[in-house]
Amino acid sequence: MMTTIWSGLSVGGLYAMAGMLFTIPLVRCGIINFAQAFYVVLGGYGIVALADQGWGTVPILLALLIIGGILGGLQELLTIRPAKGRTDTALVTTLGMAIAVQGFIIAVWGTEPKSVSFFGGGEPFTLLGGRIEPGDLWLLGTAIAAAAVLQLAVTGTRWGLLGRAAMIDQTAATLRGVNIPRQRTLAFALGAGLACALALLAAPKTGVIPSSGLHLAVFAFAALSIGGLGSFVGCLFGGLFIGLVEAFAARYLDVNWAAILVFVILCLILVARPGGVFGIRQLRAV
Amino acid sequence: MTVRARAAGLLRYGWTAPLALAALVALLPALGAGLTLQRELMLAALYGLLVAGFNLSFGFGGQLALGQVAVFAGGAYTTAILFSHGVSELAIAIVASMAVAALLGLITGLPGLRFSSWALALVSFFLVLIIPNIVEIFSAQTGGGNGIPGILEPKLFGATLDAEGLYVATVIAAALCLLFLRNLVKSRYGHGLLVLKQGAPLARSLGLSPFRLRLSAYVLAGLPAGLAGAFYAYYSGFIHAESFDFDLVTLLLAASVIGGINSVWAAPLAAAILIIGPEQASSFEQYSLLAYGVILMLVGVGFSIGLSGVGDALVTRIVGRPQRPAGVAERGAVVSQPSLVIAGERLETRGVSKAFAGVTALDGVDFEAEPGAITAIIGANGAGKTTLLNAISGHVRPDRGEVRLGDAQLSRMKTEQIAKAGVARTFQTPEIPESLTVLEIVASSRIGEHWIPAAAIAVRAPRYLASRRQDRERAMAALEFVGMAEEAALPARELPLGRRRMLEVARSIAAEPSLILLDEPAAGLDPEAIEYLRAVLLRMRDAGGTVVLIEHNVNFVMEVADSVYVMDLGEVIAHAAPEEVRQDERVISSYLGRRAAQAGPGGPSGAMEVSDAR
Repeated sequence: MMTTIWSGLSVGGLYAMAGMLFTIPLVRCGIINFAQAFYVVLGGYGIVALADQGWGTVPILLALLIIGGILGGLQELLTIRPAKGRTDTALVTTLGMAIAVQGFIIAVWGTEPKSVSFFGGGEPFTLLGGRIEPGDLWLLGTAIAAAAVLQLAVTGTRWGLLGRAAMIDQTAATLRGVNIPRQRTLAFALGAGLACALALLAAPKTGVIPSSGLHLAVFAFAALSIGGLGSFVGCLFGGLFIGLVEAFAARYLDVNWAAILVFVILCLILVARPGGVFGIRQLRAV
Repeated sequence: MTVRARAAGLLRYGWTAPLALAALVALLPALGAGLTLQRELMLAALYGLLVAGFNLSFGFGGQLALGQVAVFAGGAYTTAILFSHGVSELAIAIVASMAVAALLGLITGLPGLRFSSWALALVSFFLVLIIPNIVEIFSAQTGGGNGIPGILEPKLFGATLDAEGLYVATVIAAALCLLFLRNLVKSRYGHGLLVLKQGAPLARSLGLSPFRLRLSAYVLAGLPAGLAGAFYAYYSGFIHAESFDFDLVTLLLAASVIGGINSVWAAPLAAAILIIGPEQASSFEQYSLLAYGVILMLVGVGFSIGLSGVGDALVTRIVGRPQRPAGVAERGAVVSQPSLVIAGERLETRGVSKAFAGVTALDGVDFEAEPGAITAIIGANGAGKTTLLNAISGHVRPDRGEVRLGDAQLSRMKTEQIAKAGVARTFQTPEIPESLTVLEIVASSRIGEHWIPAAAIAVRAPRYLASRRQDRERAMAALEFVGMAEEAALPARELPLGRRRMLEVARSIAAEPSLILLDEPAAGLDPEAIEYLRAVLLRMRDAGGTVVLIEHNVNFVMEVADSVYVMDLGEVIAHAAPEEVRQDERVISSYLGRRAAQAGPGGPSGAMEVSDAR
């Protein structure tokens, strides 16, 4: 029982963090960067490649942040900015970027799964009556910390204020001197850099396999829709909730029902509460 | 007859060219095409069906609904399960698969009725992701992870089809299905989807129910997918969940944008390129996903118009583009004098009130407009003019009060019902679907009325042809009425602002309205265009129309209006003939301003202009 809870919470922490990564560009410019989850997968392959070269954890982390940041920045400069940040074309181009990242992975590394071990070691131990691995605890802990830090950053800093201003009315924000395109580029770079870095925690859990990108994207979206678009704390709760639902359904029902159950819950919540449970009003998903 | 004119004449029969091509493709085995090529072309035809159906929601509906792959899977599994129960008659399989597909299209489309772009795209991705789970749960029927093997030797009306027979049947079925789809999108139905893509308010104001239209689009988009699924089961001989995955979604998307998202005929061509292309360059296979991604980004940024766009550009090169008659827009007066009656009804509102989050926008407004008269509403920004207009047309639901048009009680109706009851309107910023011609847009004025079944449209049944002719005649009459007949064939996106306004006016006239609401038709127009507008408005009045006009240009209002209402902070503060309104103390202080009071009537032209009027 407790083991199932831990397993649900850890994978939920992953969904929550992936959802938060979606949220970063979303609260800056109203765009969901579909490629975000695929950057996490790319980060996993980056770890495999760099670890083969004998790199340590900290240099890998820095490298992932930089590579991801450059990719995200380029993505914004090349595909979002020419379309002037219009959200309808962003839907197609961010999806295109996601597919391109997956295609790049398959072209370079093939479709064979690879594995990455957790940097902090892998011996499971008992906590509150359930078995848990250190990597899982890290996922949960980092998710909680990330939600707190990002929420504070959005509500309590000038950076967050600028973002909210840009989100509510781009024209008005521009007129008051906010450089919207630069804000957008930075948000994309930050989101992608953190996504690549997230692979350090995610890859040991999910394995390194090209097809995990779509799964992560969809479940992360479920996390942020349930929690509420634009709210990092909501995203945390949404992710943990989905993780628990999935873990318990898989344990007591059937693995196949787990995903279907999450799908049904997602649809019901989107219909009943389009803004999610913690959502900002302006950011309705529908 | 010049070459160009002859080419333009031939264009009317342009739809026969793809059919001729399909006939040629169907004859390929007789011409010695190998089995490999046959199979590739079959797959291209089937994916082409998928893409064309997908375009119905993506290109026309503007919604990224990727559930098409799940619908396709449903069709394929239906045929495969029928086969495993001993039913190998293709005709039965097709009917059953299409029925299942229509149902699945409805179910997978339901999220699209409420969700916007992002949510719909991700929910539909989720649906594709759980196909294997669903297949596994029903593994007694679907074979679970092992799939259903050995689906071979279909019968068509009792006769067993060999590989070649299946090929011919596939090509013919696909061609017919695409022809029906093409007929559908090039009809009031497809135009309705484009209108909806432009915006739900416009769709409602033309009497369309966005809900019904979207729902029907999802069902209709499912039909080709179901047909493709039935043939795919026999094409493949082996159905398993892995055939319906993310890779197929990306192929579908790439084919859609390569062919052009608004296209029907280009869909199988694009699919053929994506299927046969990698075979020619085997090294391409592993880069295909990367290439699709790059293609999507390029198209999204706007560097491509798709095969169909290239085709259209070629046709335009050969035939020449329709030219805008020189000087038409600038001519001050409307030249011809067509006789058209606009049967206006009396509009009356009593005590209409509306508050937005506690802020009173309308406070007990009594308003009347007579047939054969122009009734103007003026007032400062925020006075409630547009809210009143929206309350009449149903875009805003009043909290209290009554709206009556003739004998009809409008205040309880939905927007689209109000439109059907005879209320036509224009918008502050013209709402014009860009990809249609002037005539098509005006003909769309009564698109929500006398609904014709999609099947009748698809086969071009006589009743559809008759109503189309009627729509066009009425549209031409309206265009003549506003002096735009010569511009009928122009693409609407090429019109300048003044003509776009006039186009909206023509569209409202073509609806044979009992009431016409004009929301700031003169805003942003130059003096010549305003003069033109004035002539048209007077003609509408003389034809018997009930015309309600919101306008900031006070001089213009004083010239055309028979009766003027002045609003301030949600209330009517004056109602009189134009000359009297000019003298009214309250009006002067709240709206016209001091300068107007000093200059008085007949003062220097322009003195009445309000400084903040747009």
